[in-house]
Amino acid sequence: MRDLFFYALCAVMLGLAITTVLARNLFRAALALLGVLLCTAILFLLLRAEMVALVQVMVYIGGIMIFVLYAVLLTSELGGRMASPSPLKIGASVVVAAIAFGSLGVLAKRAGASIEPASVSAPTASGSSAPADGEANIASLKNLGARLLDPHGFLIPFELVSVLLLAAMVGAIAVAREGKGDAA
Amino acid sequence: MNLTACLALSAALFAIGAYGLVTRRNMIAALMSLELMVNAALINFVAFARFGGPHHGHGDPESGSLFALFAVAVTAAEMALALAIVIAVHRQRRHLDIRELDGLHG
Repeated sequence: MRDLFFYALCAVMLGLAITTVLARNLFRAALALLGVLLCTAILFLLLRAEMVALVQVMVYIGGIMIFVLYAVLLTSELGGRMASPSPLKIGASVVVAAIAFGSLGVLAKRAGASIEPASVSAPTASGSSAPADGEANIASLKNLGARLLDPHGFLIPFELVSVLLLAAMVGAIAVAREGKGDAA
Repeated sequence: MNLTACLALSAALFAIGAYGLVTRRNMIAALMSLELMVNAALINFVAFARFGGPHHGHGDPESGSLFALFAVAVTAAEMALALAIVIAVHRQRRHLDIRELDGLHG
């Protein structure tokens, strides 16, 4: 079941990647890339790297892709040519949204049912945790934070990245603003 | 789902991204192809952290996740700068065709 899901995910991801590379319409390519990133986040969940999946959604999809979409809309003149969707498309969208809501509701119900008894009687770690694969290869959030701020671990790269982000922010502002003399 | 499948997926994504990077003429499209390649690298980090190295040793899940997080941060910085350059170039030249941007060509 999990293998089937994995291969279906791979197929969707590769198809969207090819769309990203080949689409004539830049906006469509950006949306396909967004789909690829979302599929990658799901793949990270399958690989039990929950934190990376979360960061993928927040930074990549929430930050970088919004950047890219803005840049596409600012630089290409397709603002006026975007026709309003046909009734068929609207109907299909409503159906897709309803299916998404339904499946999320089922998931939420199941999650609530599986979590509630564990919080009442904590010591019986019966069925909620994944039993099949060893827990040794899964990064818990606690260990992740400890390693990140450990001076013998990743503390120095962490600080360096903060400096890098600041420099990139200042640089981006300096490059993109209206120059006083050099804007020809 | 094993290490080989993940690596194959990542290699395919990387190849698709490389193809796009070479063939695309629009700057933003080339950047999006670059994103695909970075994404393939991230998949490799996480897959090796999950399944361990080639000698079937235990992976190091924290290191893999942290490497992926740092890669994401570096990519965010890179994309911010790249899109600033895109905006600046578009403001000056009114186009984003890579083949035409040869101002630094000696």
